[in-house]
Amino acid sequence: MAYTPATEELIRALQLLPGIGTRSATRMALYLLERDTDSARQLSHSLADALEKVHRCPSCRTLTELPVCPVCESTDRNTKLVCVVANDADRSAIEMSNRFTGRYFVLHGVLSPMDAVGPEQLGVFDLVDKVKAESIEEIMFVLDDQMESEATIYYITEQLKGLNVKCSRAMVAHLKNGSLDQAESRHLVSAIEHKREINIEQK
Amino acid sequence: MFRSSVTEGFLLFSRPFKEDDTLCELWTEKQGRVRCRISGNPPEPYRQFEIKLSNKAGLPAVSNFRYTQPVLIDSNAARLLGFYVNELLYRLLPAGYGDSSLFGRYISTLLYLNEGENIQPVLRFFEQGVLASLGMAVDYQQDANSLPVVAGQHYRFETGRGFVADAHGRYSGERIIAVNRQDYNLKGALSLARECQRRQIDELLGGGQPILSRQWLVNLIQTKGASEA
Repeated sequence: MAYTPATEELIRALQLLPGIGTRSATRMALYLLERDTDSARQLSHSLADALEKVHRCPSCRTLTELPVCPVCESTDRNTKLVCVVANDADRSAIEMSNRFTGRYFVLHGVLSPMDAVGPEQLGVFDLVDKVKAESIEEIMFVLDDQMESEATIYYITEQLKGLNVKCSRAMVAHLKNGSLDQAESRHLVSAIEHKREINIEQK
Repeated sequence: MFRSSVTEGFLLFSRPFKEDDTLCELWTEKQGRVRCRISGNPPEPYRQFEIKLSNKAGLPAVSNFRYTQPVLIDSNAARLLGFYVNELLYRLLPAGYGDSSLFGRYISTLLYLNEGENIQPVLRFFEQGVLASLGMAVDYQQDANSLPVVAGQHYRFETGRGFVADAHGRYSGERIIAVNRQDYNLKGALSLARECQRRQIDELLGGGQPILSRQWLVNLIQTKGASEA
């Protein structure tokens, strides 16, 4: 063992982060322990604090520090329209466009068997229950055009078949790296305004 | 280990890597499963490409990328079924293990899945190909004692061994022979192939997490059945 047991453990823990391999993790761990222990303490405190306070909204799965997120709590929102997004960054981008008046449902990913992300992890069956319980009239998907996202939309719309809910899709043009949080507001607004209905039988 | 090689391949899955790169798991004809880092967007799934892989410390370097065929799958249902095919390759085959025959079978499987008919036999055909590549194909021709399967006899299936003659076995020789001929019109032949190959696959997984996308497809088929009923 090249480092102390606690250092090794930290290196292993840092590798749990996406895109971080052994060398990057080692570099980060040694930087924090050798050169910047104040930042290390701050990081440790912030992580513990966030883990303590932040949880998923029981209604829409948005990350929140309140019992229910402000959007779900608000009485000014259209409760019959739900926007399905892949993550909180996308939700935040749409919210900042100031054009969407409905509520959200955050999947926290898309179907990906190799990452062990299936319908349960995405809360697909919670969404179906929500549609039934709250008589939702429209589900609007704002996901990218990657294959996993397409398959996720297909899977969800199949689950919603027969529930008398309209499914639509907003396609955002000019995405940088597929991230909505880097999209310009005018493109988001245009996508929401020009959403198209999903024909469940379509290929 | 290869030094440098041009090969045909497909994308199995990808995930973002660092700021602008993508970590890709490729299924290639010559090197089998290869993990590499690609700058920018990943290749289009279910579309054959040619790529040059050069070995270096860490992940192989990728260059000379170009598509060589149109996309093989363009329906959402087939995309979901393709997840299962890709997951089989990812979970069962060791990295760096190339198999041209299985690569060809992968292409024909995608083409059949896209047609959307006779899905179950197509999936069984691919499963058997993966199992054969690993030396674990279910032998529908001979029993565990290397004797020809007899139509009038019954058998039980033992993973790793094959069919064992057993008067109380649940599988009739007639059905086993039908599966060997890929004649799935005989009632029960398809479910026999599904059950036996699934057990063989589970054996290879060694008690680890089962094939995840298989359960999604079962759920989806049940949902479709319920909504169409």
